[in-house]
Amino acid sequence: MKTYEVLRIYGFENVCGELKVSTHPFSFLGDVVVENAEVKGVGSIARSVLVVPALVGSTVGPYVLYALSRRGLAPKALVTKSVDPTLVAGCVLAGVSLYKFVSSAADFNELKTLEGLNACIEGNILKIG
Amino acid sequence: MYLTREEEAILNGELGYPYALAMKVITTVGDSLGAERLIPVVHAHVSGISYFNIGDAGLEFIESLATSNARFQVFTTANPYAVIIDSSYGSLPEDVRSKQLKIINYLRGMGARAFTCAPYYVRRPSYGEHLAWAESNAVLFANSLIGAWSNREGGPLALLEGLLGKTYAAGVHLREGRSPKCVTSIKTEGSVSFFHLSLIGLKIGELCPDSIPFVEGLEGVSEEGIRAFLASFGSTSNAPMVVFNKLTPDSQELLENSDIEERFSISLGDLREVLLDFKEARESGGILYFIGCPHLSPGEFAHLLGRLRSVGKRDSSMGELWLGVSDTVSLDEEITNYLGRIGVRVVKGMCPVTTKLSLVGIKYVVTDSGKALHYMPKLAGVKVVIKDREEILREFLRG
Repeated sequence: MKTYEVLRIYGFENVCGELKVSTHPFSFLGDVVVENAEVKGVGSIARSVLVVPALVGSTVGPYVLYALSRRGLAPKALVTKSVDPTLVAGCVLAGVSLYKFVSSAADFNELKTLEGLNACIEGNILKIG
Repeated sequence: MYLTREEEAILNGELGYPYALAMKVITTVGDSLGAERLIPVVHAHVSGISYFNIGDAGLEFIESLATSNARFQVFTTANPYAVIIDSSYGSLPEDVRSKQLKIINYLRGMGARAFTCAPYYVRRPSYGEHLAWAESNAVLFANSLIGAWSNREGGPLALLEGLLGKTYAAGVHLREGRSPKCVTSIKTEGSVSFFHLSLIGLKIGELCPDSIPFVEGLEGVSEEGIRAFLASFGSTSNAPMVVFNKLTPDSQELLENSDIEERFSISLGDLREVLLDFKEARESGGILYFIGCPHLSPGEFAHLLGRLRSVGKRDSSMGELWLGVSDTVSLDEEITNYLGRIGVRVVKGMCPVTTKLSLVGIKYVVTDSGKALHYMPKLAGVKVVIKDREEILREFLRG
């Protein structure tokens, strides 16, 4: 089992789901298909523990996260290197737990190789496998 | 976060559901970002107005607030909505139009004063003013060119902040949150067009996706040119501000107190590859020319009207030119009719970028906006080619 340090920004202390990883920042508006929660290059992010360097672009993103949540397709947790007000507000409205990735950049790059495994966040530790 | 007795009462529901929700969301965001208190804002600007962007979930969210007697407590403006006019291309489905009108009416009922992505032309903020703005180009304009203070709020967050007239004291509301982290030097020769500024903005946004850049080399560029840069930059970066050497108020002080982590240098030559990527094959029919992303300034709009008034005749079946402006812009009937005859429509309070244009048969958009180039293929479902504004006008008038 691999472990990484995260910092809880909002939401539950304990969350589990399938690990999904985007190596590039993306925007909720335009890059996520609301009907099926698909993200190009990542696949469905529904009910996942989604790791992404940052969410960028439109300030309309929170509505997309909210719409995913209303359809039961929102990620269970988001883990990002960069936290901003737009993202936090979206997570609060959608009820998605949000964590900041604290471990090293090398650790972050390693996560893509673990995609598809079960990921659990317990306190400030992300456990994979 | 410290809350006053009055703020605690609002959180506990004394003023009803919308205000309690607003207090909960704003304080949670503030807590997560280390804010110690709330501060008053003088102007809120809400994004997420197009039905195509927010869908039924967004409509129901706004409806739930409006029908619970929520009212904005400060001057509040909103982003433009989807283009719901009848054009030569056709009309949007009736259910989309009716849902879009509901969103507009709910926001007007709550007190929204205007629909535009350029709220700084409706009410220009002052230096040092605290704002709760959500449209990225507007936030970047206010922080970077005026020296007003606004975080880049999410659309629903700015709406809730308008209800309270308050925001959390964190991010760029604090002086330490306004420090640049990367330096970008731009090498240009001679004057730089809006078109090139748009491309440079996209590129620097990619280089600095989540940090405030200090930009050197655009010292002589007009406010409208910098606006084109900022709109594009905001499409590829999350930063709420750009510090422009000698253009941003307090630019030297901000640089001196910064901890620069990265340095980049770019020239127009570096963008050549990007330009080649944008050369889309032109399809037959369904062409729209579009200028006004972000919405045109009064000066730009007057200049374009002046150019178009001397046209005479044009075959309007060869595609329309849409000019995007605030719904507060007034235009007399004679000019509107004349423009209509040559295929020009002034889309007031509306945004083609956030409208599913493919639904009315538009396949191909020619524009000068890097922001439109970035978003339209995804949101509007069309191919986009970016050109210089003068070139767009020449091509449109040639028909």
